Amino acid sequence: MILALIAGFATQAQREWPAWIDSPTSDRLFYKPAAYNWQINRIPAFAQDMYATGVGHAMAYEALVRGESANLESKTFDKIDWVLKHPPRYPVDEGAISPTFDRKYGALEKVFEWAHTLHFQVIDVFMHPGWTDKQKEQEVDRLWIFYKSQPFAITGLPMNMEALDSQPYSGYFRSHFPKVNGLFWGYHWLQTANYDMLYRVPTKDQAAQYPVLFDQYHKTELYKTDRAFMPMTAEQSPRFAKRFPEIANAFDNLHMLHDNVNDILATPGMSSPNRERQVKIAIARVLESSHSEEFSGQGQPGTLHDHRHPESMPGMGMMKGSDERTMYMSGMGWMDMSECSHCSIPLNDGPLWGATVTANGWTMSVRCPMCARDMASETPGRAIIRAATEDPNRMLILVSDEEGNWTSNIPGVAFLEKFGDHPECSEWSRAFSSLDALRKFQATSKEYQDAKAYTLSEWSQLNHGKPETYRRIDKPNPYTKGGGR
Amino acid sequence: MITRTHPVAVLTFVFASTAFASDHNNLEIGRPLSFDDAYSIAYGERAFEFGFATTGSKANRPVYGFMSELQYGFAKNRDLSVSFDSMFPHATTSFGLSYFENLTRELEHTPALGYRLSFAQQGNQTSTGLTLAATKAWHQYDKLHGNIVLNSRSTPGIMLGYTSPLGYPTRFDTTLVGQVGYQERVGQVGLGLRKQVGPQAVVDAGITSGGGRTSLTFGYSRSF
Repeated sequence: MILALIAGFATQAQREWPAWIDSPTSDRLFYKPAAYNWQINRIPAFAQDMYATGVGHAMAYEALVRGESANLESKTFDKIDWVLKHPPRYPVDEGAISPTFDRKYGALEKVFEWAHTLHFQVIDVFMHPGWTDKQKEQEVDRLWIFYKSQPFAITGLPMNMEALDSQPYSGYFRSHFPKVNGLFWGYHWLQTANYDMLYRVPTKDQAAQYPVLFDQYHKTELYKTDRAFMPMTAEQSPRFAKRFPEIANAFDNLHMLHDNVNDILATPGMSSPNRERQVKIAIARVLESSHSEEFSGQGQPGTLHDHRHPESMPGMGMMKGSDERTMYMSGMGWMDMSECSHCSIPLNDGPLWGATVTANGWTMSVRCPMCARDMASETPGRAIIRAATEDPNRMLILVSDEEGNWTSNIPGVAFLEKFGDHPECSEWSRAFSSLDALRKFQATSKEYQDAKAYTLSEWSQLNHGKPETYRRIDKPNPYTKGGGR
Repeated sequence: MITRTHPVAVLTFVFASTAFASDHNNLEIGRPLSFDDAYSIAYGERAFEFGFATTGSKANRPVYGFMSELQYGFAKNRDLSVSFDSMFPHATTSFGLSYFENLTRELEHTPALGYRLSFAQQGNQTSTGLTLAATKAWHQYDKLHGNIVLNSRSTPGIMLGYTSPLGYPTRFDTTLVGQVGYQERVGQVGLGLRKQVGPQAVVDAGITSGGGRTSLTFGYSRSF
């Protein structure tokens, strides 16, 4: 049945890919020359983990193409795991580690390499010291244009993930090779979670966050086998995805292409020519050129040209079971991305955008520092809070240890927290870059003139628990048969 | 007239037909041996290579040479390079230009193919050349590289190169290179190593022997 569907789909889709996919040329591309290249090495552990993700991808593909799938969950997994624990110092050519795969699926390698180049260059820009946030954002916008100029570029439009993941072969890899699929989704977690660690964060404050991500990645994310769906960029880096929706979408579409390819290579009984054809069709589905003249926010629901997105998040396509406001997030349940994850009050835009909390593998947006602190305290383990201060160019970065003790990138940080009604929490809970800045604010605001100014250690001791305004979205898990919650 | 017995000729041979490049993962072969692989550098890539070589025999004083080369991937699958070599104690310099084009990457049953057109000037002598290059996998990770070298000032030569990554699957930064060939009426064998020392930097060392002479080469390549 599956094979018949695949064969039928293949026939229908023949000639539905651009000519370059059949080209025998090498077409290697170099990254955009710039002073920021390889700034990723400023955090060596992060750089090496990123380099190792390339090795992991390549080793698994090589094993699959060489017919070694029987050993994938044992011998190949162990080989990859060793590299992940002993990552290479320098970037590694994936094509050199997967030469058999490269000969057979050269077009796919072009798409992967070009998108991975974008991954790295965006990181390099954010980690480049000496540029303002504005300069960095402008350069990332230019990088996107540079990326899109090649035929191998993946579309930056949001795509319906359920439609992409509903091919006849979909799901085979994750159900039959859960450990190696877990590794893939672990890599994609790291490749998406890092952007909020870097975006608009001063370069001197970036490295202090990586140990939290490192632990989560190495101890948990790589070995998770119960994730409902691949990690999405907007789930892991909501601030980045909101500012650079096209790049976030391109990364998600890339990662879905990886999932499609994994399924195609792993599904038994498919002939070699049919596998090659399916890979070409999968590539064409997500190419920029396949979606020209189409627009974000539009499209026929549930189709491959469905480019709708959640109202508040242009950097994410529609997910299984999602509607314009809510989506199911693995590990968190149903979420409304337009609302504070702690108090369910609509999020703010603008300079006082609130904060994000990173803990236990997720990153959620909240309205104020208090919501961030109290939400972090509900989760065991280390956490990171990134919060707006009165200075739009100075983000507060708080990193906690296992006991919940916070360290700050701003030594004299001061907090206002005059507890009141949650719909106004972003007014009465604020972070300031100094006591002076807080006093200045108080001088202009009658309501908060007499409010206490908290130091970090005093503020850390506060906790107002779960707010009454919090609204749990009680719907079944769309990824479980029978609808577990 | 450069003769095959002159040490400068041997050193020129060491430098000839190079496709020096530090592809960002240490696999663009060229240094430290003289064979070419069938791939150009990447579109948009610029690479600088610097090398030192010495050759000698029991009968002659050693000759030293420095070479530098700048390459540019000006189009997909095509690159241009310009090189300068200086050799001592004969105080000869040479200048070279070359164009390389990769025709096809390696597919399941066919090797990668490419060719190089080159022009060189040494003193008032000029030469033009054509190198045909093929690259094919051997076993899983090793590669064989076949070259046919045609030059306006010498008899045709052939070269067979071999590359093998060392340390897989736990290390990914070192490549063993070897070659055997016949050029300038001299049989040649060579062995070398390329080691990545930075995201875009490679160092190399090699030894070549033939016609009663032995040459040592050392180099550094960097892409930017």
